This record gives sequence, C-alpha cells and structure tokens, in this order.
Amino acid sequence: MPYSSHTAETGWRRVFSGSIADVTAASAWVERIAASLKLPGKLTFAMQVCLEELMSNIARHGKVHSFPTETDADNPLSISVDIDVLADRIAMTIEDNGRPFDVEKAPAKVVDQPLEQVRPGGLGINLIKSFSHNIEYRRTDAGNRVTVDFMR
Amino acid sequence: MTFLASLGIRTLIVGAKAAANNGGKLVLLNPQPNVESVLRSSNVDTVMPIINDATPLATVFGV
Repeated sequence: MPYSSHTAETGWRRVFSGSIADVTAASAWVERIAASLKLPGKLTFAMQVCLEELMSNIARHGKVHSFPTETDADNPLSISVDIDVLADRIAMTIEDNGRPFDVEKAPAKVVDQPLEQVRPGGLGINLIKSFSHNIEYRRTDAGNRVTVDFMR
Repeated sequence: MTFLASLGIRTLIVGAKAAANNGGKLVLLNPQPNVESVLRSSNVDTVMPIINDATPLATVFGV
C-alpha cells in the first residue's frame, strides 16, 4: 500500500530476503508500481535494471555464505526497498544489513577486451550508473543504504 | 526477450565463447530497444555483433 510523507508525494516500501526468488519478486513489485503511476516503459526498465543489480549484489556478496559466521546465522540478510515519488523524480532507496559495499565508489566496468579474454561478471555497477541519474551511498549502523534517482 | 541485466550478459558471454571455441560466432538479432541499450552501455556489442534484418550477412560473417 502506498504511504505518504512530507518529502514524497507517494511512496511504497517492502522488505525482501536475499534470495534469488525475492530479487524476481522485487522486480515484479516495481513493475506494478510503475504501471500504477503510468511511468514510461524506459523509466520502468531503468528502475528494474538498477534494482536487480543492487539486490543481486547484496544477495551474492552481502554475507559470506562460504564461511558463515555466527553473526550471519543470527542476522539473516534483509533488504528493504523504498520507492518515493517526488515532483521531478522517482527515488529508490535500498537498505541492507550486509557487509559494507560502497557502490557509488565501485568501478564501472565494461567489456574492454577481445571475447577470449573477457571474464564474465562485474558489469552490474556500470549498468546502475548508466541507467540512473544519480546514486548516493551511505554506510549505516546496520549495513548499507543506496539511493538511486530516476528523473521523470 | 524484454529484460536483460548483468546476469543475462554473463550467460551471453559464456555462450559467445562456446560458439567461438567451436568455430562459430554469436550474433544478436533485432534486440528490443531497452535490451539493446543494456548491451551497448556494457560494450557487449564489441564482442558479439548486434544486427538487424537489414544488416548484410557478409559484414557479419565475411561470406
């Protein structure tokens, strides 16, 4: 259900786990919100690309699954997603309780070698930076907070 | 296909390498505009050509 706040015209919030199924569920959720707002397809697509990249990064690297610590077992991955509708933009904020990762400072890698030397993976950061208009990272007490903006 | 992000690109790169190792070439025909923008912004089109119906095959396969 949408909520209202003094900063946003309308907003939505949902909390997901770090499962691949939840990455897919989050993308479908964003698509439904975008449809209800009648956002252009290109903007919806940009939001879905950024959300999928951010969430799959957290799901893959947020916890050290190979060597789970007691803390990790007691504190399963939780990813909250806020969608705030502002006059000039949509702000999508993703907060997690995983290991620190500053996506704003992470290198935006693209394919820059011949096919035989290309190592698959690592292209997501560039997509987040290419498909959003602004990205802001903050380390929080619990983990990480990333806000990506999409101009309307 | 209407959606593509880095996970899908990974699959395409693995497929393109497999094709190249077997003497073939993976080309991408008529991608949806949003998908094409993901491919081009990642420079994926430099290792697997994006073609459309009007592209002469000779320019892609050298035949």
